Amino acid sequence: MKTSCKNIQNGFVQLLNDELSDERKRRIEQHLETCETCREEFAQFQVAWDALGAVPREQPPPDMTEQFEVILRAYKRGMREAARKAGLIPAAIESLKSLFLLPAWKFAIPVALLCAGFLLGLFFNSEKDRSRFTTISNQMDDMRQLVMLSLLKQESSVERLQAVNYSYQLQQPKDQVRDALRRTLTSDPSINVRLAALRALQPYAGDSVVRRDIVNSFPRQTSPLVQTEIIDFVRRNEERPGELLKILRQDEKLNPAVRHYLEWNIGAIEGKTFYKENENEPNSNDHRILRLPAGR
Amino acid sequence: MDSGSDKNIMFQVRDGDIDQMRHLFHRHHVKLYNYFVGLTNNRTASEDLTQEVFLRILRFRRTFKGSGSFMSWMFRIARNVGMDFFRKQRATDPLDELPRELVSERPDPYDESTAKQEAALLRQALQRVSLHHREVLVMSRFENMKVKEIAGILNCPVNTVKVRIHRAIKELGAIYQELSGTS
Repeated sequence: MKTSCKNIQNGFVQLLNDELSDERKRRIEQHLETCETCREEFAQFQVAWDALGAVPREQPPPDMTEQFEVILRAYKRGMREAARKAGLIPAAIESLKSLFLLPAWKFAIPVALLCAGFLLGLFFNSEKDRSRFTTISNQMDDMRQLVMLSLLKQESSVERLQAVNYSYQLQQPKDQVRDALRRTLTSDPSINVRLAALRALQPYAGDSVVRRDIVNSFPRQTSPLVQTEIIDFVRRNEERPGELLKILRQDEKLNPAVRHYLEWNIGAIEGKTFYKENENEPNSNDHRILRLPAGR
Repeated sequence: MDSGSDKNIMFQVRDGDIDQMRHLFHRHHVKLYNYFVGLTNNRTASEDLTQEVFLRILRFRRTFKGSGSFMSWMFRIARNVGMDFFRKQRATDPLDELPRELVSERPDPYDESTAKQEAALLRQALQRVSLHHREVLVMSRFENMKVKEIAGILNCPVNTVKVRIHRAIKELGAIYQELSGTS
């Protein structure tokens, strides 16, 4: 192929996108009139170009906006938490405010008050009914667990997210709940749900099986976000976090930002990294390091 | 809903008015979602990746200087998110190179119109195009970006983008013919 033909053919995209000056456009058109090879090449290019343009656009699922609102609220809560730690605002009031703004609570509060009234009535009615009170309370807890486990199987990630949040309300969570959260962490397709499950597993951190599961899920996690949260989990809950983090570091295909975060944590554990509470902003040019602020 | 240019909104977000992110989300989430569907052919993953872009925008809001367009800045982040996804996918399961979700939705020839079948076949062919070719095709054809804009996002010369798109179209055409049995 002649150099000029190559140049002409590389200009096809701009010709079809109407990005060329009149002069350049005329030159390509003149060339096409005289060069059969380029004319054929252009015809083929145009067919593929038009076909690609005709591929219909996908519509995102309708609950995507709702999911974004959940993320935004969690992020703002994290910001407030960070500010509270820094002593800037009375966070207790703010957290309470944001909690009561959640749609689930709008529904849950009247229901909870109703149930509480009913149960208190039973309690004060007769001393003998103490055991009934306990039974009803246990039954309600069982019901919540059932709702939680059923929501976790829903297709909508918003509902699964709600299910994970339900687990915080359980007074005596059964092993089923713990196991469902473990499964969610390892296999849920949504990053947000996996992140929420990881946080919901914190109360079970005393269980070595749970800790092992969480660490084992690290290489399989597709999101650096979840991986960095796992690193935090290890630091918070393991007796010898440094040794475990070094094992995780052996993964050669680790995301560079996650590796950087791992190294930083290992350094901090070994006393080589100087750590300041609020100094967690990434380098200004690094778009890869990502961590949610502490949401809970 | 509208409250000014993307850049002005992003400046407000950068300065701490996080709620303004809603405007940017409403304006761009469909665009980003389609960008990721084009790249991955996987709706669930595209949903997550789109959310992750907005999360990173929040996280790195202070790095927004406003020297270029907001769109270019956002797509640079989107590109990193996409590359992280593919890197991770290769690391976990090499057989997952071809995302399955939409590929498996090959239309029933008795039920679907020819146009729909062609579009499905084209999406399938697009998934077989090498990643660095696929991304320029998605940017130029699905996102209607100019060559210069793409060059800005990929941080490479305009000519490189032109050559890459040309080769990408040829690669796509060959794969499409092979899949449709017309070669």
